[in-house]
Amino acid sequence: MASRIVGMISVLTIVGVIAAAAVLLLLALDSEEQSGQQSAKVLSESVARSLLSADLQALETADVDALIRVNAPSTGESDSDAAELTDIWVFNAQARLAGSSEGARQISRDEIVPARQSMEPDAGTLVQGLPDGSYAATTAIRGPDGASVGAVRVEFTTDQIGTHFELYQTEYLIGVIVILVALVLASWFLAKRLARPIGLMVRAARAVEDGRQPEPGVAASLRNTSLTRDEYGELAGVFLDMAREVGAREIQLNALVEDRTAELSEKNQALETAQQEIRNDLEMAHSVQAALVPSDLPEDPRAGVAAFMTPALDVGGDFYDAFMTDDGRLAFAIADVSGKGVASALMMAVGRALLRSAANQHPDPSDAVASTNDQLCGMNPKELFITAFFGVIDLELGTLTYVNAGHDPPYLIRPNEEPEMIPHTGGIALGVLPELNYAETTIPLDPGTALYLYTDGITEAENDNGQQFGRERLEEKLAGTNGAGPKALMDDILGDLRQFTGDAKQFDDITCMALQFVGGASPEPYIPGRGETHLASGWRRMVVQPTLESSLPRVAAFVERFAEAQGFGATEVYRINLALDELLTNTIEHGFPGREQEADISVAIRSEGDSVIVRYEDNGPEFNPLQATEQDTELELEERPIGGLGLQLIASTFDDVNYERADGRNVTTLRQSRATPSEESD
Amino acid sequence: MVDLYPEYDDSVLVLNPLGRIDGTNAKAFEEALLGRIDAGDTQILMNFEGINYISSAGLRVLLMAAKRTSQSAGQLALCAVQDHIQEVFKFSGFSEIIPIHDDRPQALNTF
Repeated sequence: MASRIVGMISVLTIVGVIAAAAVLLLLALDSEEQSGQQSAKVLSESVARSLLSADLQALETADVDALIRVNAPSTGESDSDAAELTDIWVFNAQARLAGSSEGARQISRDEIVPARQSMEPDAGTLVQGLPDGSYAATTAIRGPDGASVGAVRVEFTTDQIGTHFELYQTEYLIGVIVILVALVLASWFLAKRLARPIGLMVRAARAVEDGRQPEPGVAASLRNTSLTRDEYGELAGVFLDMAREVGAREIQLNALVEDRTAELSEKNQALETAQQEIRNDLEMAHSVQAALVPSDLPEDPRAGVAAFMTPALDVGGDFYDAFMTDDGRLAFAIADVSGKGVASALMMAVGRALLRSAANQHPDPSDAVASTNDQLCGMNPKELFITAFFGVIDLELGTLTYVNAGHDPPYLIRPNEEPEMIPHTGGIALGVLPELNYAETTIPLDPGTALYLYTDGITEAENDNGQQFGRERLEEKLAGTNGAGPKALMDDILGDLRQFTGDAKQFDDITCMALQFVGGASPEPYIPGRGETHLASGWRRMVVQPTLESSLPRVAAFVERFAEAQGFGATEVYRINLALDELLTNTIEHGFPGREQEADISVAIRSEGDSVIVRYEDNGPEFNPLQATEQDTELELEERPIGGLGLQLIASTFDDVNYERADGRNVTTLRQSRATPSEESD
Repeated sequence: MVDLYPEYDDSVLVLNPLGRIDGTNAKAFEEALLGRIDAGDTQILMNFEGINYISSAGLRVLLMAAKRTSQSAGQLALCAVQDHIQEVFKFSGFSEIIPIHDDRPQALNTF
């Protein structure tokens, strides 16, 4: 680059020098011409003057040779002393040739015209170049009065001038070459000087481009350059600033890139970890969901239960449940939690646990569902909801009591009848609004009646053509299964469903449950206590929790259901409840101080002819209610002690009260005949 | 919390409890009823029309209330007691010490 600039400047210089030399040469030639003309003029004027001093009359016969000899030296005063005088002509006032150095001669118009012109008043010497390269100068010869008396023409060759030039040609050439060389050197030096800062900047720029700082020498030179006050100095200064700036930015940028890279890799790591955690969570939620559906369903010859669930790829929130309640009824539920993912699975886990616990605390399904709903509403930040069907089958009575909380109505398949939808109870989904009342419906179940419960994963399952399995198809298939046991019924439908969907992707959990009421007597005779003989079948029994709050209402409902089924009246119910209340209160308040978890309390009840038999057991310390302090009911009010009254009441309300301590358990048996009108009015 | 649905008929405080009185709410029933007596009401009629179950824990509270009112020269009486409940008053001998009337107007006449 720099060398190119140097080259260009050199070429320009050379061209310039050559042009200058040419101009010099031309000027030299011109000056030679000028000096030739000047010589001719001086010569002719000198001749004219000397002729004037001679006798004008004699001009006609002037000795021109003498004249020339006289005047010849005077021509030496000019530069052109080397000029050779070739001819002198003298004209008279009429411009006729008066004489010449060559004697009489023929004159032409070219000689006469200048002679005449020169004799015009005020005309000076006329000089003309002749075709042969020589010069002619014509001057008037004027008298003292200024009038022309004649003219003289002088001719001389200019060969002398060419010779003069040839004489000095070598010196000219040498001079020109010297100047040329000097100029080339000067321009080379100048170009070098001019190009140097640019070269430095180029090197420095290369360094900056490569991400380095300019070499110290280069930088120092540039700094020196920047101190000069010309454009280069300014440019170098600007360049140095720029290089510094670029360097600083580069460093900053590099640091930034390093930081960002580190940050990015850190984030990637965190992301990977988080993804792994999510995968683990999903897997865990998946296994939680799978684990939370009961693996063992209740086994009771009076009813059959079969259930199935396939979670979709994402974790869903379907669940089913079936279990025996503490008071010996078969409770079951099917439910679908809105949404998918971990939140839904957790909601499902909570919902199932709450419903199971509520089913044992509240004898009426409507209360159990309402309680579950209240609790779900209190712990539902994601505003999920659960559609659920919850039912309880009283296996003794052959009744189904159910609540439908916004779920697809299950089907009832009575023997030899078309499937029918179980009428909706109008409840809304759980978890939406607290403190709702849910209606329940009770329907009788004939032996052989089947129930089919499902979630929308079945009816909305699609085949490859995007068609849904649908309710109609389900009803049709259910009609074809009439008489099949619950497992066969369920498998039939699932088989039909698989055939329908083929290889299409499963979008939702597929969950279903089938139950069949068989009826008949309780399968296993109840063994009231260890070491005792078996009692006849027909007992209904419930396990009681050792807190009054949970046990009293449940025992009361248990007794009421039994009494209703057996046709006992309010008096019997009240007496039985009162007795159980007293026994339970006594056990719970005194039997297990501080170790309630060890309590094992149960109530069993059966009818025998016109009598009702109640058996109450607990594993507390030995206590015979019959030996409790007899209370004198005849005492005046003021004299009666407060409390201690209950156990005594039992003895007075039952026909027969028996206590025994057997195998570490207190067993109290109460028997009472059906109340008669006479007894009531007694 | 037990609501006694109190109202006054002249100087007689008429209480109208509902549902069950058993071991689970006897304590609340006791506080509510004895609180009334401590506040100065000694002429009290318990309208038992809405009570369908009372256990011995509830009876005990009635006994305490009867004692307190009688100490303050007042009276505690019951009316409209359902048949199956009336039986327990009979068996326990409470019907001898706490007057039980068929209905409310008849009961109010005895104050």
